[in-house]
Amino acid sequence: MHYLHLLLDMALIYDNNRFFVLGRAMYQYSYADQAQVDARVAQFADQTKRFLAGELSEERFLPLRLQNGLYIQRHAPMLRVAIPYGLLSADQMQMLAEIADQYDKGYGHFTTRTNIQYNWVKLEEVPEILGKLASVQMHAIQTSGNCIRNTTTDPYAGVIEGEIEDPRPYCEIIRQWSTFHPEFAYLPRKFKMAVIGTQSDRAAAQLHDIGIRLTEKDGEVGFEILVGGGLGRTPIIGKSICEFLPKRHLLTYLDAILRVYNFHGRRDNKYKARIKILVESMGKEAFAQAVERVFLEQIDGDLTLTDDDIAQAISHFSSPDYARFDPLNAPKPDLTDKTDEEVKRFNDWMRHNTVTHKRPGYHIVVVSLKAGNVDGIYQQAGDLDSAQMRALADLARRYSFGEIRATHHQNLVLADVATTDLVAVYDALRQIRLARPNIGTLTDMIVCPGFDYCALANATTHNVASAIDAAFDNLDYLYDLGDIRLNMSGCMNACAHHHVGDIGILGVDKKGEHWYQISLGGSSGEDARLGKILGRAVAQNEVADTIATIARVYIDNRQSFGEHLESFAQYVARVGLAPFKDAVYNKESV
Amino acid sequence: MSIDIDFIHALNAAKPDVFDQTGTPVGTLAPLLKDNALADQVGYVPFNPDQSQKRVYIDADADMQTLKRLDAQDVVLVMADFRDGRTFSQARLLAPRVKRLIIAGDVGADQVGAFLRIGAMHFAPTDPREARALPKSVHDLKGVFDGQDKAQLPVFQATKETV
Repeated sequence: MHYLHLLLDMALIYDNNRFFVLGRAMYQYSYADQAQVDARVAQFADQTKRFLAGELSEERFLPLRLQNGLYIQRHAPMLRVAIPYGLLSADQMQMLAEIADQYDKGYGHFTTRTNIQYNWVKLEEVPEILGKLASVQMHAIQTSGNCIRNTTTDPYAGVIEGEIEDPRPYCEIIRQWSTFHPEFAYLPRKFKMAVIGTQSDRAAAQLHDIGIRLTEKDGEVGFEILVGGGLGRTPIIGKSICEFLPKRHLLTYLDAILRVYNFHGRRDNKYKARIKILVESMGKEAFAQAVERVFLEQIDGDLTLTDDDIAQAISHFSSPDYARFDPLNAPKPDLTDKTDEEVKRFNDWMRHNTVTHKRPGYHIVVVSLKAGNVDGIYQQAGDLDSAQMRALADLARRYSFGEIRATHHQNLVLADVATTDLVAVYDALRQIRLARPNIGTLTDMIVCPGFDYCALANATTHNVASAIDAAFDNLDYLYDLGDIRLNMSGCMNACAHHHVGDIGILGVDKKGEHWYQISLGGSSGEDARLGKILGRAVAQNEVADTIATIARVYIDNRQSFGEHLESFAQYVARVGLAPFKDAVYNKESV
Repeated sequence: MSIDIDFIHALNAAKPDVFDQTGTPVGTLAPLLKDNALADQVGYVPFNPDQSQKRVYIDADADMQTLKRLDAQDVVLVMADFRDGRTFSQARLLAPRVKRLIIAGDVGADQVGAFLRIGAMHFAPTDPREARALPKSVHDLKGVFDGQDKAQLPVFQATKETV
């Protein structure tokens, strides 16, 4: 294979008698971006030096290292690297692989904030790692700490049917506005935003400090603004405080929300410091009025966006050079060389791990990072080793315009794969254990690192996930269950969003033993709702059986309407917890 | 609004150097007169001997309404705790309206860059280690994005040089 680099953001590849022209449809970092990440690396190197020399106290170094994504975890420092709104280039993925090999244990962990974490870095090597990241315009800026974090979005942004508009340009605007914003670096608590462009919510927008939904009113596109959503100890669904905000006021309005929060958010108790608590205590109306007052004082000021500004931002996210296919005669994957068994496997994968692209002749491929138990060893949800990273970077270059996306379900996406290339992509993914056809099913679990790594966790998660995976290893049964989201967190901080899983599992500590509280009926979608706790926690060795019992109750009692089967979510909404409680806690009655 | 008495004592005892935006020491912070500070609900303190000029000391509890009422040209924003980010919002509200804005107290050398972008140009850190680091840290992160003004964000700039 030969790479002929024409520009840094474009390359021509000759492979297997075919030319592949790569041109990315993602924001191209400017000199300003590069200068910024370089300046940050120099600054953090100096801060680390001062800290190690005793010239910077532990207390003062804490927020500085956190705002550079550096945590002290159970075994070693953990470095969280930003992936703005989940978009990665192949070159960046390649660098993540190099860092994994050189500075970690050969792998990284993708998070629900669509970032990546390294769990085994050395503090003194972090400035060097940041330098490597900066060489591909990556960084760890504001991936932790009480500041504005990575903005997330729909992993299918720009390629899915039914969008009001592609949300990524607005994510990029927000990224630039919020990065190093001088007023908001020491907020009462962390602050997260999500932007979506469709009715379907694939970014859990209602569970963010600010959820931004593109909407339309009288032919004009603007935003609905929701505030005060969040999970953790006090899970709350966000509230709409502005039904329609013209685009030009986006930054002015966000600035106003942040100022009200910065002035009035609680600082005396970190568990009460998120904006959701402020909104609850003030009341939605009073909070909205406070924001409105600040907004009106600043309206039409320096943050006002013109139509030209917006067009400029949108121009950075133009569509790649798609091949043209006849929509009435769209190509199909060529399976002529495959055995019946191989065809079945491919079809399973295509049905579950690909999504219809808005462009005829293309598919969105979801790369499952939920391989589960492989040769008796549980592959941790969201983990990717360096060989997989390199292979995926190569696949992205060859088949998806050099771009990879991270999802908040801890999977990856190749967003622009030609339907005719699906077989080749599937075969390649299968070789690197990234083609498990389980997207949307119960084994596509979100699982936090848990007690094995995280200093905050109360309970282990991976061993429980492994047991659940083993209990649901029959694909036919898994498919029969349909879409079920299972989210498992090792503590009430809820990094794995257990409150909004169809099935949520929360690890708790009871006198040094790990127990697990189960909830049912949550959703992070457009119908966002919090799950209800089933009952008393179950012991570690009973979790998988309990989930199997819950699944059986559903299978045995669901309704069918012609060919349509009642989904797990619909069943729980209809019957509530009673039959599940009965089956789990009064097993003799099952 | 009042300023915590213990903090007044600590600030006065520290007699911190005041640095300008280049990191150069330009004098020491005049002591805050506690009786006057506590006597007046908005914290006015005589500064010049003729009392024609007023210096105002403000702690982080001063809210937006109080700051809007403030009529002073010489303002000291007192940080009792470097983690209390309200001072940044106070500074951004006041910077366009006052002649001199001094950030004093527990301000960290690594926070100075943000204050400079907001428009505060004088700093009086009480921690000697922060004072030592400040002359260098004022030069950190020059030219980074500035979310106060959309014109400073590269996405809106017409030149599309890429790296």
